[in-house]
Amino acid sequence: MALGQKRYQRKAFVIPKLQITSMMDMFTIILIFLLFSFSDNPEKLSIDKGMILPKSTSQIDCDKNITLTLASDCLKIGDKKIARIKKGLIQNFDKNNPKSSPLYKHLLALRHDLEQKENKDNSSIVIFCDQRLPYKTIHQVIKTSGMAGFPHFQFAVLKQQ
Amino acid sequence: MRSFIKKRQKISEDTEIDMVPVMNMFLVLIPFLLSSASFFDINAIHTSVPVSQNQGQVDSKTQEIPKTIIPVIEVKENGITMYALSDQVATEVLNKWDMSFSKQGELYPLSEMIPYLEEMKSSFPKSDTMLIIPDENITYETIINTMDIARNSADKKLFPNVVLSEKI
Repeated sequence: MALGQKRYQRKAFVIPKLQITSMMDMFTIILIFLLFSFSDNPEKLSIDKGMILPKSTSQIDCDKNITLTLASDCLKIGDKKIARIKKGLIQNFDKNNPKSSPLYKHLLALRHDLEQKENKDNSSIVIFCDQRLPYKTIHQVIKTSGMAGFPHFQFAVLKQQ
Repeated sequence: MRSFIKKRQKISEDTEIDMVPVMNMFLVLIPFLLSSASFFDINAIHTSVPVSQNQGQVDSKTQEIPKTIIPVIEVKENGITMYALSDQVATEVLNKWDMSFSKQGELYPLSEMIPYLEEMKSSFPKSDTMLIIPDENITYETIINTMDIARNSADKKLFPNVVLSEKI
């Protein structure tokens, strides 16, 4: 009987201890990395996929204005696609008559909106341009923007480390 | 003696630091920091296109400001041509800065322009505008590199206002 009691006697349940030291190490490394890459305005500007911005020594921050994206295949104002780009040429863009282009019409509409808001001084365009694009493409855009009342630009660049 | 050792072992087993609150804090901090992290720094270069002015405005300005020049950098397929423009300075003086630099392989000799730009700036310290005229097939990267050279040398500002134009 005594033997039987011993056989069926269960061991006291011991709570398993979780070994969290390695996890703590990992979290500490992640925390330090994130603290170093902390930014007070993270969602201000974003770059399209496939776009390569040139590097520059400029130390001036980008303002949050109208963004114009010149990728290798399309032209966008904000998130709206305006035209396609093929071999460095903007489609539906007449070089001799830029005022007939969708780009000019969109920029003019934005200009009118800004004038109604009496925000004339803060009217420079931030241009995100792929570093491989030729000047003829950029020139079409900046010339049209100037005609639409936006003669000042900010070229977005990556900070040179 | 044996009981003392056992007691001591027991004490040392019990003094483990409770890491759970620290873990909780980390779990709160990490999503917050992830949402506010930026993995690339975007800066800006300010530039503009030439804007037409009426003659009256131009005349009144030229009377007020000291002598200035506008350095012009033409970036071509085969190299760089540099010269200066001004309606306040004699042509002989301006001709001093007529330079051309041939392309070295695939690279433009941008650093070779620095001494001349520095000399222009020291001769006409009030000048702050530069004109860059790239050929139509010059890449945006080359234009930005040229702008960087034109705006700053190693220790001082040269011509911070860069205007992009096309050959007329």
